[in-house]
This record gives sequence, structure tokens and C-alpha cells, in this order.
Amino acid sequence: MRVFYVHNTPFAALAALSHINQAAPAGATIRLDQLPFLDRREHFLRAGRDADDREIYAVWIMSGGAILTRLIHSFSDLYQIPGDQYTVCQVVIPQAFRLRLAMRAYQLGLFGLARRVLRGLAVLP
Amino acid sequence: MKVIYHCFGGTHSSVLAAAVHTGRLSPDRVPSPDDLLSLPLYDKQDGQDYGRLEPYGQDESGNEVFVLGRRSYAQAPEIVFRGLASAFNLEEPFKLVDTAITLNWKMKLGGYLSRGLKLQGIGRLIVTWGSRRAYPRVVALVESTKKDLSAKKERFP
Repeated sequence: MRVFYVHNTPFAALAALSHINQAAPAGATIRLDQLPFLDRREHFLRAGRDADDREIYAVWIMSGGAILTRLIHSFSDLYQIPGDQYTVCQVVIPQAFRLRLAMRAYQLGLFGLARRVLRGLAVLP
Repeated sequence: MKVIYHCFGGTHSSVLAAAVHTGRLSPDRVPSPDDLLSLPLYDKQDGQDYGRLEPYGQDESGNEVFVLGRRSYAQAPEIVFRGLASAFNLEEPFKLVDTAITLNWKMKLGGYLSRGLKLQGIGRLIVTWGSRRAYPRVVALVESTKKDLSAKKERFP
């Protein structure tokens, strides 16, 4: 089973890493300011495996959230990949104010500001 | 091998390229506006259809040809499809060809009028005019794609 987190910002990667972090040993955290790909406007990232042995991926393209889901489904139709072999998860707007601010900054293309807002935060389950 | 021609709407330049590739249009003769308008998918897809792969037939070597509308996200098909091929360990190769380089302003304007504003009368007049002018570039792109495909076939039979 593969899980694809999609979004129009690098928050797809944060969601995927949060998912993986649930499988990490207690106390293990990923510092956001150590993640170089958060400055990328588009990327396809393999985040790792979760506790249930699912492969977790993140895909993001600036201002292209909707097309990602369609492209994933089109590709799986083309290669006849059964629907039970993958899930596409659209990243939702986070509750925490700093995360909401960072997401908005990414959406506006203000990557420097987004990184500054995320500085000091860790990926939490 | 699967060949995917993609452009903004998946309805003009990518359809032209797919039609030349599959032999629906002759590379030696510029098609008439009627020829163009009778092509499947030509000036027919709109905003609801982007991101969807549409089969367009096979070429003489058995390669399957598809068209795709991807709005302005020219890099999206490459990033997503390469990533997915690796995620699912797929061995069957595919080739993505961006046909937007063959566009001219008449195709952009006519396409916008016809598909975006639903002004088909004037839009189709302009987009078919632009398509006929762009036709040699489309044929050249398809020929170079076919050369790439046969070179790949020789290397990986």
C-alpha cells in the first residue's frame, strides 16, 4: 500500500513526515529547519514506511494541488494499478497559527518567510 | 512504449501532435480547418478534463499515444509520472512530450476564445488558422519524438 500526500506547498512533505514520525521511537523528532527540500517549489518525495508497512510519499507543485490528484489517478488507470494499492490524501489546513501562517507564506511564494516561521518547530505526530 | 503529448488544455497542440503521430493527419500536407475540426478531441476538451489521459490510438510501431491537458503546470506530468513509476516499480517506459513549444499567439487566443469564453465561432476560426500555421513545427516535433523512440528501441529492444 502506498499513501501519497498531495498539496500545493511543501506541507505535503510535512504531512508525510508527520505520518512517518508516528512510527518513530518515542522522543524522536524531525526538526523542520533541517529539511532542505522545504525550499523546493515542486517535488516527489519518498518519506519512508509507517508502522503498518505502508510506503509514504509526498508530492507538491506550487499552486497545483488539484492536478496532482488527477494525474495520480490517470497514471494508475493507465497502468491498471488497483485502487486498493494506493491512497491519495489532500493535506488539510493546519489548526496551529504558525503552521497556517507558514502555509499561506508558501502559497504566496514567500519561501524565506515560511522557513522563518517554521524555524524551531519539529514534526509531530 | 506509451507516448504522452501534453499541453495547456489537451485539445489543440497535443491533439495535433497525436494525430500526426498516429497517422490521422499526413505530415506532408497542411490539414484544412474541416480536417482539424473533425479530429477527435480537437477543440473539445475544457477545464473539467485537465489531468486526464485520453487515448489517441497507436502508431505503426505499436506505441500507444495519449493526450493530456495539464493547465500551466508544464513540469507536473514529468514529476508525478516519474515519481509514480518509481514508487510502483514499473518497467514499461513512457515518453512525455510538451507540445506547448509549437504554439503561436493565434492558437492561444483562438483556444481561449473557444474553450475559455465559449465563443466557438470566432475562436475556432482563429485557432484553426493558428494550427495550420503551426503545423510544420508540430510535424517536426513528432518526427523528432519518433526518432527518439526508435533510438530507444534500438538501445533497449
